[in-house]
Amino acid sequence: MRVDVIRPRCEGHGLCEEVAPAIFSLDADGELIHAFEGQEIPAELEATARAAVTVCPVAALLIERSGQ
Amino acid sequence: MTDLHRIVIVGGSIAAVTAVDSLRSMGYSGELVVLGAETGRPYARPPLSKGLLNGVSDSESCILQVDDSSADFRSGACAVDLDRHDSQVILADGERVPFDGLIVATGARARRIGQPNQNEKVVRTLGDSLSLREVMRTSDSMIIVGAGFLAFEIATAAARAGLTVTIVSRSTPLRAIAGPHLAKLVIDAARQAGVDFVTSAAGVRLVGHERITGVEVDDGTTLTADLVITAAGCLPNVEWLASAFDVSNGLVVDERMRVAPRIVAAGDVASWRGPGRSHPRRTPLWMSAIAQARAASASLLQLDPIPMPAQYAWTEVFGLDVKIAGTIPPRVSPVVIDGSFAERRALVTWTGGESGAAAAVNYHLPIARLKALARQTRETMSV
Repeated sequence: MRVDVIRPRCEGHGLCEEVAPAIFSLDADGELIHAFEGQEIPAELEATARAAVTVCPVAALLIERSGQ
Repeated sequence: MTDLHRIVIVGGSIAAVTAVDSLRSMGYSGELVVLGAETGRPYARPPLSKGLLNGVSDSESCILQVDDSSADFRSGACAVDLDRHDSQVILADGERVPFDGLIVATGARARRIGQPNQNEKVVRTLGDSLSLREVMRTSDSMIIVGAGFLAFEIATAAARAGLTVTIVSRSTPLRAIAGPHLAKLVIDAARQAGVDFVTSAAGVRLVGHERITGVEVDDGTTLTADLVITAAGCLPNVEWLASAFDVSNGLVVDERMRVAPRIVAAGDVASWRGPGRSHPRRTPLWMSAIAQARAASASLLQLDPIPMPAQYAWTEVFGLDVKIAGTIPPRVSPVVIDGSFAERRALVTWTGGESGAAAAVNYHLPIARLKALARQTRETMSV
């Protein structure tokens, strides 16, 4: 599973950072940093990543399944 | 972990979707049915009065990403009764849906102030927001009845679309939820954008039927506008539970979101007795719905309790990006940690509330740190 960030949608609420700090963080300018951008999410972090996708109120995170 | 084989979730919004994710990630592998009353896909409500109404985002970006294989999602399935004796949810068409475990997540609806035969407009559903956005294009003026952040979010979108906007409320808006200082900051920003404020302590009467043309205020005068919107809070959808529980004060849950054995609740519908609260209260906020759905899921599966995070809310009004952790005590002055209200960029805290509170206005700060600040405020206070 991969998670894509749709940057124009991101408003920097940081809810994803709160539920999945191992994957997402906001830098000092409020820009989202994605630790696995363009990469597969490690299996043990998939549930956490999914929770971060759900918690985003502006749908800036998109789940891409492998092979799609 | 439990002997539950079939869990039914009544509701189709963020609390229901989070409950599905939570139950599955907590290891529940039994049957899972989600009964949503609305038609269409589950969607997020925060953008309805923010990005969507402003026209900066589209309806597609409000749709929640749901894993269809994780549960049987049924839309247009409106629960009308609960048979506790036989453990069945009864739908409007008479169908009975049996359950071993039940999560009540029926949310809330907009509170209306008019008569049933009046075509009163509110912003609560995706349809409400899309139709308001459309009709704003051909309107010149709007009256908003309300005193909360929703009223100001609608006003922000309307002013941006070029409408003249009047906010009508019983008392000074926002004071009860944001305290006088933060309220003044937001009200001043709205005034600068041309918004008028009218106080009508005795409330208002909506004028018109098929189309609401204005409001009569308490001095007897009638204000008119092309559009009249009610933003007067929300009411819990508990009527369908009336034969099963006493819901005269809402659906009361304990600190772990439990209603009765094998029945839990989460989201806007639930009146929650959290730590520090003298009586149960609903917390109709996005992050509360998510936290409560996780806690309710853990309770239903009889797992260890999940700690409830501090309350968190945000709004975007008249160029002010406001994030609030905790509950702001209305009669306490804030302490400015950094920035200032004058420069419209500030990090502030309050002591003396039930939880401690902190707010960031146009101030970037990770939410975890804002919450920590609110928590420290409370701890300092109790020393």
